[in-house]
Amino acid sequence: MLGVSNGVKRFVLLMGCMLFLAGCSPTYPKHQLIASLTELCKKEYGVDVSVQIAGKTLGVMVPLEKLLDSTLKLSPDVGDKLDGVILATSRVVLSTDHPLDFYVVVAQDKRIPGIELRLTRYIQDIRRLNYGDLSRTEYTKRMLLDFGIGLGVFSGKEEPFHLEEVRMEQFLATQIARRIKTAFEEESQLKEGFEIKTVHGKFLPHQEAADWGGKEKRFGRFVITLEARERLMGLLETLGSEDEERLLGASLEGILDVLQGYHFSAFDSVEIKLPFLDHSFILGRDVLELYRRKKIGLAQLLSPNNFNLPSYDAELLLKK
Amino acid sequence: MPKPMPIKSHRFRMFFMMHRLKIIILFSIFLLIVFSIWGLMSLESFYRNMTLAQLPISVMLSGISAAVFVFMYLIGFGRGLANVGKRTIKGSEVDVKWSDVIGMEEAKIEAMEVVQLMKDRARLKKIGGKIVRGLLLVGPPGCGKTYLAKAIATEAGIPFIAMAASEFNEIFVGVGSSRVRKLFDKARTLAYGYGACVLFIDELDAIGRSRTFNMFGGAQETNTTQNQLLVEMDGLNEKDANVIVIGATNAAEGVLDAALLRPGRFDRKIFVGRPNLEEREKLFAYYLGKVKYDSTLDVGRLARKSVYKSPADIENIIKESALIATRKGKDTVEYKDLSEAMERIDMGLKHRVHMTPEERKITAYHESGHLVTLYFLHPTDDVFKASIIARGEALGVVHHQPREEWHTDSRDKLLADIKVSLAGYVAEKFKFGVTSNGVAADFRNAMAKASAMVWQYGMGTNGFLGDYTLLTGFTAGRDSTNDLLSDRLKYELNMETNRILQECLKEVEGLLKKEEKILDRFAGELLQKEELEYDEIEAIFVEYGRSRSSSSSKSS
Repeated sequence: MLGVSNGVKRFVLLMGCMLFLAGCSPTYPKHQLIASLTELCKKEYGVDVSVQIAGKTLGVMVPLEKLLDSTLKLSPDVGDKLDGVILATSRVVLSTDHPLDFYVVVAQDKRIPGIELRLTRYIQDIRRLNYGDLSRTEYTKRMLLDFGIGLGVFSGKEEPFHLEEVRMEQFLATQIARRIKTAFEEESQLKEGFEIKTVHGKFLPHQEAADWGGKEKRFGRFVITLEARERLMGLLETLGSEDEERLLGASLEGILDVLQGYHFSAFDSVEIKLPFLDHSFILGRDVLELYRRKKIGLAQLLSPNNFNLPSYDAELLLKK
Repeated sequence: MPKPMPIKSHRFRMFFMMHRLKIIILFSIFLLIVFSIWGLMSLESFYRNMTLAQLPISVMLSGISAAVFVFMYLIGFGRGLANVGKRTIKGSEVDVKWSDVIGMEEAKIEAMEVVQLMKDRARLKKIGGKIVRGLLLVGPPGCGKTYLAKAIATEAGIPFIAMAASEFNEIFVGVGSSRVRKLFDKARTLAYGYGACVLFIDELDAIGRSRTFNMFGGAQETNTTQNQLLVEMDGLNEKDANVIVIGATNAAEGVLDAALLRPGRFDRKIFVGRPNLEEREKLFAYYLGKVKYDSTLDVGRLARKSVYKSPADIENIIKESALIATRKGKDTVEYKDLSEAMERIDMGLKHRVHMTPEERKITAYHESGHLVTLYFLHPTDDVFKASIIARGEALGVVHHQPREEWHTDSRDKLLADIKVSLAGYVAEKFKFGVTSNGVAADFRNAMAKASAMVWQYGMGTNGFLGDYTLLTGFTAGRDSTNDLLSDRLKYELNMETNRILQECLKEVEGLLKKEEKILDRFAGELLQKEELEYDEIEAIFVEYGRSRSSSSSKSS
């Protein structure tokens, strides 16, 4: 071909190499990560931020002049700035070679110290969203958004602030609790039967959980506590077994959604506490898996004597 | 021979004109790649990696889409197929020198003159002379028309594009003319760059036949293609490029369209005929030079034995003889191998047919009758071989060749041909009293010649002159009932034909009776050996003191 075929081949090869090499270097290298993000927020969104890294968590503190308006609601002009910072943080954490799992963006009102808006995201979720592996709805459910006073991720008021690393187990426990609460608020059938005030989720590492169940545990236990409104206490005491099943079913759904969604198996058991009924269900990981695979039903979970579990997963405990 | 070199100032423009599409595509690809890299570099590493990760699948999907599109296009729009795979030969692939052109000395001289005209085009234009636009090479197949065209291109030092005229034809109307246009465009571009270009169209009759006009439009595509060729060669064309069209055809002049042959199109016609004795000698020497052969081999004898053979035939003989020699385990090609190759080409391969002794005897006498008659009565031909081994449909054969080229047939020659044809019949009847249907082909041949002598050549003795076949209903384009010949005239002509046949028959009968001993001897030899070569045949005639060479020397 006019003697250009060799030239063309070399050119294509060169371009291929360039393309390959182009993908190699991170845009925000590890040693410049904090500076890059600070500069990016300032340059592109005009926001001064403080950035810290704790373990695998990146923290961004955004001090704002007016986080809340006179009605103690978020100021309308705060939204754009926060969006910008969140976007910049997402961009940076995605294109760095620093091993990060979470980022936390905290907006603080300069006028009212202690008032914070906090957003926690698992970085792999952002990647999966970009890959189209996660729906926008699920992505939103996986994000933890808190608003309150002294939320605790940043300890101390001194500058620079001190960031506490977000642990996966705690992140999941909180997310489970949020999902259960949302389910009780949104689903009409549950809303009619129960008025859940708060749902707490925490993870007790194995040292703390060792005494429970009489066995030494390797990981720990998720403890989900469902608090009911006081005014309904009387009614709740009259709950029958069907209602109990619905309560447990809705809670297990939230738990399984999260644990399965993250393929998380580094736990030994899940405890669902219902203080208003003085009930506590503790389900071993294997039992939970049997339930997920529909090998056992809710009725069997509630009446452990009625079903034959294999010996290895005889960790189903029912406490009253 | 110098390779064609483009004119310096025209070089880049011509290169662009010729490869415009390729250059644009390559440049676009280059730009796309550069912009892609630029775009990717400006992305953050995550998005860049994501894009790169998707690249192979994007490329694969694009490839599949393109393949599906091409497939659908080819299936859905048949014309797409018509444009695929038609290639032309480039000048750089041609390297045939004058010295390689053998066996057509006269054609070569004429071609050289044309080459000179091509080279002197500027001078010719200055004087006001008309340049040569087309050159038509006419002649029988295998005589080197294509070879000569290549030599013209090489000698003139200009690019050469070749295409067979049959490649213009397609079932789709308009494709042929489109191809002609494209071919001429390409030739003009090359002519612009190199000063001139030879455009060779082989088998021109495929598109050059006389145009037909009928209400059904059956030949419309051929007509359109030819019309385009006419326009491109000398029509309303804005460009006057130095493109010389060389056409080659086996077709007789009357077959090609008159418009194609008029001055301004194919101005020159070169007849590339079969080689003469001297040229055949050169051809044998040339092709033998390419194989190992016996140094004692007489090239002159081979040339004499291969009257009317084309250069392609001679090349084929040498190739075939090399194969025969190899099969026999020889290191060199000998005369016998060449002789066998000639027979194989002329007479076909031998095949054993089981004959009864009686049938074999009849065949031997039949062939001996041909042989003896041919030897004594034929004025132009020599017997090279006699055989009673079946070849094709014939049970036996007498292979004869003219001693030299004759371009016309004399009355004596035609009569001799008839006598030789009838000799098989006479020999059978003379020796066995009965005849076989093996004489059918001989009679057909004899009747055709005798009839032509009387009806067409005015060679009868009853005074009828002229070509009477023109007046028959069939030839005159009328039905047989509307014949211009009277029954009486037909009768007389046919009687004269029969008279010729009868006279020939009598003469052959006389000859074979007279030479019965020789006839018996040849039949015996054939029954014993099955085949007799020229030398063996000659030796027998010498033995009986009837050698033609000795009698001719005596008479001289």
